[in-house]
Amino acid sequence: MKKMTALLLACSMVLCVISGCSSSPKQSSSAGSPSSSPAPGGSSEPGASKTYKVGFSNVWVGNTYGVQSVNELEAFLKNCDQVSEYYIYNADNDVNKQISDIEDLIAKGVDMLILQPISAESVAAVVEEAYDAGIVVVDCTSPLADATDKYSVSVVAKDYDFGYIGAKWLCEQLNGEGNIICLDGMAGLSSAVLRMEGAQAAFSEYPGIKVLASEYANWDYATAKPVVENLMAAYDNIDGIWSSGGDMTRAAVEVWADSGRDWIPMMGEDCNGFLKLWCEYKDEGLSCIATSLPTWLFAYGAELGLEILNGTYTGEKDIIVEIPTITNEEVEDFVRTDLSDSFWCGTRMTEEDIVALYGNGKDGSQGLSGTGAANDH
Amino acid sequence: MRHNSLLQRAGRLHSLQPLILLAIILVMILAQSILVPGSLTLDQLLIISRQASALGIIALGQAVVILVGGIDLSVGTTVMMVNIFCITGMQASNSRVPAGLLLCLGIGLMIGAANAVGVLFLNIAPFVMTLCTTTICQGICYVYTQGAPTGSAAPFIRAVGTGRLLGVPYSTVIWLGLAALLWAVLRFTTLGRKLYAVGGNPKAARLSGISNRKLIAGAYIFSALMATAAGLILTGYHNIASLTLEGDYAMNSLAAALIGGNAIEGGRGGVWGVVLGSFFMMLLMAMLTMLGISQVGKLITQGCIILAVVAVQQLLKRD
Repeated sequence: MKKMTALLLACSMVLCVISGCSSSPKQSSSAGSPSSSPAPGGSSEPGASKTYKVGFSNVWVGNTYGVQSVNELEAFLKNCDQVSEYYIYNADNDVNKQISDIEDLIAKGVDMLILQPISAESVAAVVEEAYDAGIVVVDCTSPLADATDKYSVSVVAKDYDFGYIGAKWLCEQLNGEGNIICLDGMAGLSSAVLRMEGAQAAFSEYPGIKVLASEYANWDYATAKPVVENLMAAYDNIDGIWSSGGDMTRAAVEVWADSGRDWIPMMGEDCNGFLKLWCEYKDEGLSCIATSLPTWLFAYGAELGLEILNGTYTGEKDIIVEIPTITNEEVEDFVRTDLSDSFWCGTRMTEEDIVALYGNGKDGSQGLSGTGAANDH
Repeated sequence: MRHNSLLQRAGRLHSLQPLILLAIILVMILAQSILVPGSLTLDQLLIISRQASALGIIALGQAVVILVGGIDLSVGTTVMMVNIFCITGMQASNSRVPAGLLLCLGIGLMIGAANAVGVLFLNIAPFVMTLCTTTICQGICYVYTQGAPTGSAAPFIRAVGTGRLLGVPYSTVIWLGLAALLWAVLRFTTLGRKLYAVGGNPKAARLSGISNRKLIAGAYIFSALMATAAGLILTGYHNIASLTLEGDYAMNSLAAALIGGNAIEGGRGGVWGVVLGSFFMMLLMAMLTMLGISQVGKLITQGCIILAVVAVQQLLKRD
C-alpha cells in the first residue's frame, strides 16, 4: 500500500514537472509577441529580423483545386523572408493522420500552425494543445468555433455566398424571368448543400424564375456531360444554367455548343479550362460569371498568421472572405491560354511561380519544391 | 450435326430474353414520349446511343468473359488508365496518335494478360484476381497523375469520340460494328462454339480436345481490349483526363450482360441481348434525369426497374 502511494506520488510529481515545462514556452512566446508589437508602423523592420517556422496540416490533395491551394501557400511561404522553414503535411482525409501530423508539427517546434480541419471536433484537443504551447493557430476553410475557441484566427469563405452570388447574377441576366437548370455538386456533401441553399435564396427573390430541374453531377466534367445532354432533351426552354462549380460548366458549354442552340447565361467556377471555352464562345453571345472559393485561402491565412506573430494584426478573429467573381468584362484578364486547364485563375501567386508550376503543359502537381504537392514535405 | 442442334436448342431457350428486353425498351421510349412531351426525337435516341456506346463495348468484352465462366471487374480501371495514358501519350497532337494507340493497346494487353495469368496459372478466383488488378491499376493512375490528371485529347481521338457518320455518332457505329463482328464469330465459327463449350461444360470441352486455357486467356484479353477501345472513345468524347472516368463500368457492364440474357454461370448468352442491355441502362438513366426525379428517388427507382425487368424475363422464360 505504501509502495503504491509512493508510486502515485512520484507519478504525479513527474506529471507536474512535465506540464510545467510545456506551459513555459507559452509564456515565453506570448511574452515575445508583445515585444515586437510596439512598432506597428514599421512592421517590416522588426519582422525582417525575426524568422519563424511554419507548419501546415492539410486535408487532401485529390483534385486540381486542392493542388493549387497547397501550391499557393507554398509559394507564399517560399517567397516570404520571415519564414525560415516550413512543413506541409497532407492527412489524406484521415482524421488520425491529421492528429498525428499536428502533433508532429508541434514537436518540430513550429511558431505557426495552419490547418484545414477534417472535423472540428476530432482535432479540437490537439489544436488546443498547440495553442496552449504558444503556437499561433490559423484555421482555414472550415470553422473550428463549434469545437474550441483556442485558435488565433480563422479564415473561411462561405459556400452559401458562392451559390447566392452566381444565382443572383443569373436572375439579373434574365431580368427576373426564365427557366433555370441546376448542376449540383455531390449528394450529401455540405459544400454542395450550402451552395444550393444560397442559390435557392437568390431564386426565391425573383418570382419569375423557375428551376426546371436540379441534378447532381459530382462537380465532375465526365458526369455532367450526359446530364446536360439529357436535360436538354427533356427541356427546350432552358434560359440559364446554375452550377455548383468545379468542372461542370465546361461540360455544359461544350454540349451547348454542339447542340447549336442560342447561347444562354451560365455560371461556373474560375478554372482555366472553363474560362478558355467561355472566351472562345463569348463573341457568339455566351455570357457567364465565374465565382470562386479562393485557392489563396491558406496563403492568406499564413499572411495573417505572420501579422499575429509580428504583433501587427488588428483584424477580427473570425474572418469571412468575400467570394471573388470574374465577369464577362474581366474574363480576358484572367484566362491563361498558355497554361494548362487545371489552373485556377483567381490566383495570388507571382507570375514566376505560376509559370514554374503550370507552364509548359505542367499541371502544378509537381509542387514548387519538386517533391509533389500531394506528398508530405 | 448433333452439336449444331444442341447449340440451336440452347439458343432458342434464350433468344426470348433479348426480345422481351426490346419490348421493354420500346415501352420505355413510348412512356418517355408521353411523360416528357416533345423530348422523343431521333437525335435524342442517337445521343443516348452515344452515351451507351462505351458501356456497350465494355459489356461485349464482359459478355465473352462471362460466357467462359469468368468475371472481369477490371474493365472500369482499364478505361481510366487508357484515358490517362492516351492523353499523356498523345500530347494533344495527331502526329503522336500511332504511338499513343500502341501504348494504350499495350496497357490493355497487359491488364488482360495479367488477369489471365492470375486466373489460369495461379488459380485465383476471377472475382478476386480482377479486383486486384483494379486496385493496382487505380494506384498506378493516382501515383502517375499525382491526383490531378490534365491534358486534352488529340484531334483524331476527339473526332472519333464526337464525330458523326451520316448523323450517326462514330462511337455508335464502332459499337454496333464490334457487336456484329462478335456475333458473327460466336454464331458461325468453331471458335465461337468452343467458347460456348468451355463455359457450358469445361470438363467435357477439355475431353473433346479444346484448349480451355487458351480460350479463357483469350476472353480476358478480349475484354481488356474492348475496355481499351471504350477508353479511347470516352477520351474523345470527354476530351479530358479524369480519375473519375472509371465510373461504375464494372458493375454496369455486368448488369448489361445479365439483363441481356447471358447466364452468370457461363455457357449461355448472345450478343444482341448485351447490346440492348447497355442501351437499356443508359436510357433508364437518361429518363430518370428527364423526369426530374431526385437523387435518392433515382437510385431506388433504378434498382427497382432493373429488378422488375429481370423478374419479368425470368417469369416469361419459364413459360
